[in-house]
Amino acid sequence: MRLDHPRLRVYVLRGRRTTLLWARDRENSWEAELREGKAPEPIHDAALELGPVAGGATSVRIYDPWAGRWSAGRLRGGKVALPEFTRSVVVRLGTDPGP
Amino acid sequence: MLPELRRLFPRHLALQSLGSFDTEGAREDYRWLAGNDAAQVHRYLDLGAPLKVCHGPVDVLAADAVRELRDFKPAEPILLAESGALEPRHSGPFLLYERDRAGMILHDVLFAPFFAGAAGSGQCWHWAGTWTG
Repeated sequence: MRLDHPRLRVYVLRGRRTTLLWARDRENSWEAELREGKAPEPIHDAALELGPVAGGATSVRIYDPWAGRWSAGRLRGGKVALPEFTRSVVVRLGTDPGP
Repeated sequence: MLPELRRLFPRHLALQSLGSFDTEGAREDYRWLAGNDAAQVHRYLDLGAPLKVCHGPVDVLAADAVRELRDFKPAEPILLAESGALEPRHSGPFLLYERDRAGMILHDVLFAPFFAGAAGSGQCWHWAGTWTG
C-alpha cells in the first residue's frame, strides 16, 4: 500500500496493532546522488496525510535510519509532521491493545 | 527437481532459483517457481535490462519485484533474494558503488522489499565492492 505525497514515496505496512511507514525522497536517487553528484537535500516541514491508515493509532514514533535516532511524533487531524530528514524516514503508528 | 530435493533433504527448505527478473518474459518463468518453500525473486539496478523499471530508483525496482510475486498470490513468504546494482547485463558490480559512501543502494535494497510486503529485507549481492555470492 502507498500514500500519496508530492515529494515522498510512502510505503505502508499495516499490522493488527502496528503500522509502519517508510517515506523515501523522490528527488534523491542513484542518478541524482551518485551520477550527478547532487547531495541529498534536507526535507523540512513535510507531513504525511494518513487518512484511514491512521485509524486507531494512539502513539507515533519516528526513526531516522541515517542518524540512527528515534523521536516522538504526534498525530493531529490525521497528519503526522515529520522532523527534518534526508533520503528517508520511518514512522511507527501504534495502538494500545485495549482491555 | 523440488520433489527429489525434498526426498533427499526432508528437514531442509527447498528452493529453485532464476536469474534477475528483468524482462517481460521472466514473469512466466517466475510463475513456474511456484512450489518453492519461499517465493523468491532476483532484481537488480541494470541499465542494460529490457525492463525499464530496472533503470530507475532502487526502492522502486525492489518493491516492484516483490509486487510482481505478490500478484501470483503465493502461499509462501516472499523474499527479494538477490539485488543490488550492476554494470549492464551483469557484466560486473556497478561502477558507481565507489561513490555510494552513504550506502543508499544498500539502504533501498534492505528497506523497500520489507515495506512492500516481503518477509524480510532484501539481500544485496555486493559488499564493499566484492561479490558476496
